[in-house]
Amino acid sequence: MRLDINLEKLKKDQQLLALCGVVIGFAFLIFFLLQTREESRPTVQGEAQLRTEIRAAKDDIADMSQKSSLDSVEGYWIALFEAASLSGLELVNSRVPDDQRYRGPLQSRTGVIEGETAVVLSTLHYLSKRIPLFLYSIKIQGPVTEVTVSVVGV
Amino acid sequence: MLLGDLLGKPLVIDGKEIILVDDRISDIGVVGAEIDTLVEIEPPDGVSPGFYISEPSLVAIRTSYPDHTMYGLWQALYHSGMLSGAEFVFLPFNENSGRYAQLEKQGDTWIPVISDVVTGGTLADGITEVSDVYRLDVDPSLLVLPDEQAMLHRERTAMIQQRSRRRYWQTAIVIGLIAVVGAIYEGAMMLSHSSQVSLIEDLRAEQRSLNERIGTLTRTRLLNEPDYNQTLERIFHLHTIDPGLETAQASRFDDDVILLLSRDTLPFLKTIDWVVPEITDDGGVAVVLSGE
Repeated sequence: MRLDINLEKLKKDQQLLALCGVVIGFAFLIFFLLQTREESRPTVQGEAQLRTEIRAAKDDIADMSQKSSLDSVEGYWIALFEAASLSGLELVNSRVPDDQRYRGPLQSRTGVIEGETAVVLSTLHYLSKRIPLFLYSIKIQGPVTEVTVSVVGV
Repeated sequence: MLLGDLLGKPLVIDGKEIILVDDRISDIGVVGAEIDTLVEIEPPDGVSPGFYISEPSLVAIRTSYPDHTMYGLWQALYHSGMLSGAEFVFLPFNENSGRYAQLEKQGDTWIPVISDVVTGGTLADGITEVSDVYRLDVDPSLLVLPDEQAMLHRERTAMIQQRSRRRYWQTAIVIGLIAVVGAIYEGAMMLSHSSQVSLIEDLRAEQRSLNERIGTLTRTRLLNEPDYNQTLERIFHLHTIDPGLETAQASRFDDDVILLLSRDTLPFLKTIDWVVPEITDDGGVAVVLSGE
């Protein structure tokens, strides 16, 4: 049997193979480069979480906006002082332990209101509906009552 | 048709005007100076032994028909499937001369082996009479044109170079396309990524702004208003029952207010549904008011 070796065809095939190799190699190189670029990009996540938090924050703002804005704490303190004086009570601007005073984001002033028990109770009952008032310790002894109060404002 | 009607004249095949040239099957048996002038029309393909032609005769035809495509006659017959059916196939110029091809049957297929000239009524072996072999009457309309055409050596070299160049160009174009597609993909990914980053930054900025707004509201509004009314009212109520009541140590509105009352108030206290009186160690009565 005759062995036919066509050098031209072989050469052409070799050229085709080489060129195919170049194309495939280049395609792999591009693929590798693209993959490396993709992996090197910082991942961007958390969009859903952010949207949830923003929605919650908007809801909070809507709720908080329903509340009326406070006046200055000094104004409330004066109102408290005047109400106490009118009722015959004494408001003492004294130092109190931290756990017996307002601790929060608002400005505050703390004191002890002192006087006859019924008057103290009714005065505080009246004022708590009109000014931002926080009550802490209460001490009733004999006819006299002492209550530690904080007023808050801006 | 006689060979004289087929060779070296324009024929229309498949709607194309071509020239059939006097080729030979295989280069076996070619000797002397003829070898150097032999041009390969179609290389051996593992089945056929290839088709060849003398370059000077091709030059002569090319001179007469510079714009026509040329094919070997045996080559065209082979590709048209007309070389079959007998060991010898004769194409006559006239009764006693012409060309013949020797075929070999391999399985069900006839394979051309060699071709040669018939002179004086006998084949090249000098024994076989031309009148005893199969005489092929060629109908040009049944011919199928081969892929490879007959070319001068320089034409073939030029064609090969052109094809090679075309292949390089095609490769370059494919590589360019891959690069362009890659660049477009990368661009799209970068755009998408930067758009996503921009979106996240916008959302974060919005969130910061909202948090600042919340901070401002928190510092200007009383969000959770304490309600001491019930506790104050109950202390007041118990104070009316026992004006001498006292508080226990550490009574607080934000925890428990513990009121100590006289034992005498117990029957009254028992009638109040929100009071749970407890007898103390010293015989008094304690009432606990839970803070807010």
